[in-house]
Amino acid sequence: MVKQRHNSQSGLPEIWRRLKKDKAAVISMFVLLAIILVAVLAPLIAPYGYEVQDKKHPMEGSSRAHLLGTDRLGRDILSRLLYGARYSLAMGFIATAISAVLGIILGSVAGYYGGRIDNLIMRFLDIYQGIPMILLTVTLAAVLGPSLRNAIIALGVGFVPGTARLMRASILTVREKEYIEAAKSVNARDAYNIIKHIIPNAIAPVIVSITMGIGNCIMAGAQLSFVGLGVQAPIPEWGAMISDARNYMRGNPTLALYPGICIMLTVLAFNLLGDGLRDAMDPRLKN
Amino acid sequence: MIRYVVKRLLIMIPILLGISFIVLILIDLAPGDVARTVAGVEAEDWEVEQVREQLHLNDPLIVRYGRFIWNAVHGTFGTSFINKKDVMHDMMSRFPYTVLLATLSVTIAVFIGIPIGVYSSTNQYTWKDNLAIFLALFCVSMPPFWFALLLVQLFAVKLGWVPSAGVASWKSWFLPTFSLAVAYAASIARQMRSNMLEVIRQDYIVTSRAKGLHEGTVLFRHALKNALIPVIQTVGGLYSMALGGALIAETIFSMPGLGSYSLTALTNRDYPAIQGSVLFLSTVSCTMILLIDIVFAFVDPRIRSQYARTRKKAGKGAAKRGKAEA
Repeated sequence: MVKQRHNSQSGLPEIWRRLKKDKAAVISMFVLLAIILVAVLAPLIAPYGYEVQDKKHPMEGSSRAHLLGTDRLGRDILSRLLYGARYSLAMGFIATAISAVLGIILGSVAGYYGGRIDNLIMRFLDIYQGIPMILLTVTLAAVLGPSLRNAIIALGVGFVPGTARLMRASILTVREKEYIEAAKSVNARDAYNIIKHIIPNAIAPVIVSITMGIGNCIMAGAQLSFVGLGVQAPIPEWGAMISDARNYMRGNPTLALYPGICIMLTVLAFNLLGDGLRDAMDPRLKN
Repeated sequence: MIRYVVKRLLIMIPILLGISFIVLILIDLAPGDVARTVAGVEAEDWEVEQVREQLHLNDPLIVRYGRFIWNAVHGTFGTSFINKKDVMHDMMSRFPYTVLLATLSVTIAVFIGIPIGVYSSTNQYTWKDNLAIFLALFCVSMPPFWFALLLVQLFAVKLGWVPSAGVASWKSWFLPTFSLAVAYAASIARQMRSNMLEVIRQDYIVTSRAKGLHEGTVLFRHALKNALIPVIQTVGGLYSMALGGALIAETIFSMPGLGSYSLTALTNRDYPAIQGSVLFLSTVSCTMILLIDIVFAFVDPRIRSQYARTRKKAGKGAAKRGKAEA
């Protein structure tokens, strides 16, 4: 029953066709598109700049001038949230890109060559992963000094081992396939072989993990900012906004509520999309 | 089995050596002058030089590394730059809090997560299942520190049922434990559900149903047992994560644990404390992962058999399993 339409099993159009049927995944795709659009168009749609202080109206609730109210410096919360999408998304996307590129390279090389190189890379990753993830990113961020750029580096580096391991495991199963042997037998260069044949066939589980990784990076980045080791004031990254609002929780708890909801929505959307992608790419779940 | 344990224990040594080397390099690369931090901002140059000499910062990296390892093996990490106390002593007095918090939250998460996962998988695609997985996904996607803040706001500030911070009474453990347990339970439930669904499709489940076993027996004796194996790894991973990285929860609830210790050390650039706590927490987390792997090997005949080939029984069992898998 599973064998029908065997040829299109791993093709992109087939995955797309199945992904489209997954309502949750489609909705989250739209949500993510909307968030990305907000991030890009923030200066156009935000009613105020993120640094503009309305000194007469600090810590106010919702009003006509400020839809979601203002913070302790009289800055418009809505505008800060809209601008915040830029920094949170940038953190998620760039950090994940760094970890994906490094992880895929390390994992592919280790998985393809095996033997001594594999051993060397894997032992290095063992050391790397011996440090608990959160502790590693926090340590990196603290050592590099708190800033947006350094937080991104810390997150990107912190997420490498997971991707590398996944990629390696996936490569190991692809490496033994006949078409790889065929490519080798016609003298294809290693690099050509890896890039042209092995990676495209082994990438599926990694793509799922990368999708979810963006969400995780946004979350971990917010955590860094929350403890003061990430994005610094006055940049309105969502985690930094929660950290800022924390001292005023008793008087105005909604201040911390909004950025948290933004993080949750974004991460939820990435997770749902990741779940949907995983199901769409799993040949056993066809139909 | 013993060979496996010994082998894994031996692998841990180079890993820990590597971790301490990485930490040393990181600190070495960090901008800013350690000696000046210790001597104070207003110290004269010669005073800074003196401090530098005292802390042996002029020695080459490899010598400092050797000294650090030598001391670490003897159980000392030096004295903290900030409070001038012995780092090892400080860490040992804080460690029990971290262990208790991690143990409590993971235990609760297991007892919530596994039943939900099993229940959800046996009701696949019904509204109960949909609700359960959506709630689980919701909890996984929630920033834990934000959730903790909201809990404090509701249960400590508004309702006043429990204290918002500290460890003065047993009541103060509720919020930190709960704030961690919710996300853990959610990921255990998700893992449990997908494993159950995977296992239920296997041939041996069809067989056991075909031979007329009671549905309860099929689920709990045959499916659950096999589906639990990967969950052990998830739970263990969460436990080692909680031991090694509950720094934010500990900080929010002002618990005197190791996580908040390392975070304070990091923000203060208190190098002996950073080196000590990172190495200590990594050791704990590595040991945890080792223990999980041993448990894993013990419950999974496929792995056990690799290291006990002489015992025929285990080998046979593994072969059977292997076939069922393929």
